[in-house]
Amino acid sequence: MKRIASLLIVVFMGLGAMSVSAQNAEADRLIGVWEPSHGKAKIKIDKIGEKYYGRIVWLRDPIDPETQKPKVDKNNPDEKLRSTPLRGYRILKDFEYTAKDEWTEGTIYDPENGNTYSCIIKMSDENTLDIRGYIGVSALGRTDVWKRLKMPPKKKK
Amino acid sequence: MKHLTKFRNCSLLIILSLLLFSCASTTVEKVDLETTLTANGPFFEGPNSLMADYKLDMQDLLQKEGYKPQDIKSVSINVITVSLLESDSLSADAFSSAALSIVSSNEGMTSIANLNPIETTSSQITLTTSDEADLAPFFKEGQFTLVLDWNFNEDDYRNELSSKIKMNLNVELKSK
Repeated sequence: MKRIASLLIVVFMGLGAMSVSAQNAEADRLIGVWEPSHGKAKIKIDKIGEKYYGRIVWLRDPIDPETQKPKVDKNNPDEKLRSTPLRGYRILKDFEYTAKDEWTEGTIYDPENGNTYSCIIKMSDENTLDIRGYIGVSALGRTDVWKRLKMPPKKKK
Repeated sequence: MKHLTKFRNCSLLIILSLLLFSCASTTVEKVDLETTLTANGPFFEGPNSLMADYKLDMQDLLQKEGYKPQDIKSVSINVITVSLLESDSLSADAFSSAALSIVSSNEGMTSIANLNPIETTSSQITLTTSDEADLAPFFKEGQFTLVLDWNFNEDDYRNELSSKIKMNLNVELKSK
């Protein structure tokens, strides 16, 4: 009897571990490089701890025409932090995988006006994200479609 | 009329208790927090993140006994310095900029300091710190992660990089 009980415990623990790892793999589909519809930037989404963060890794126009220097976060509400380079800036923060194909609890920062919005990310297919930024309730917001950046296929030698 | 006097007295009492509550005495301690952040290479041109999980020990931090994280009212930043470790044989001019953030399980990631551009060949830099950031919610949680983004000028194929961070902080505490 004891043997059966221990066997059952092992089986349940194994099933639990498998389910956690499957859940992690599902959540990690967000990781990658994504391109917003305006095409001005590319965003790389990574994981820190259990949450997801996205930083600008490429800018179509990296130089600020006013200063002739690489663009910085000049609209940051915190004056002391306005010299942070835009390339490398984390604009998506603190996302958690909370429902099927959905990452919530995070924020999106718009460097063009210095505003931070609540945000929901929905994966409509493996290569498409609906990014909805909003203030207060999600009904009052705007959705942008981001496409996963695909690496070109390797040339045959 | 009787009701009006009663209401006035009541309001006065509320205002007085609010005043008393807001004047509850606090004490401010200047403390140093030191930790080492690490990341595994290789490192590519652009920002690369070094991290450190920090578990708060109030006695160690304050050099005083009897305080709990819940006694913290606010935490502001005086100075933050970042040093490259000698063993890494790098100087700060390997990077174009640096940015420091803090995050915990329940609190969102917050930018607290940066330096752009980096114009020194020394192995130590002093960051420009945010005046607005209050680290109290992170300290009250008792555990947080520091994230340092070094913006590499070029690819660097080392296996590991460590940086030591020293934060001088003002910790406001409820008086005992």
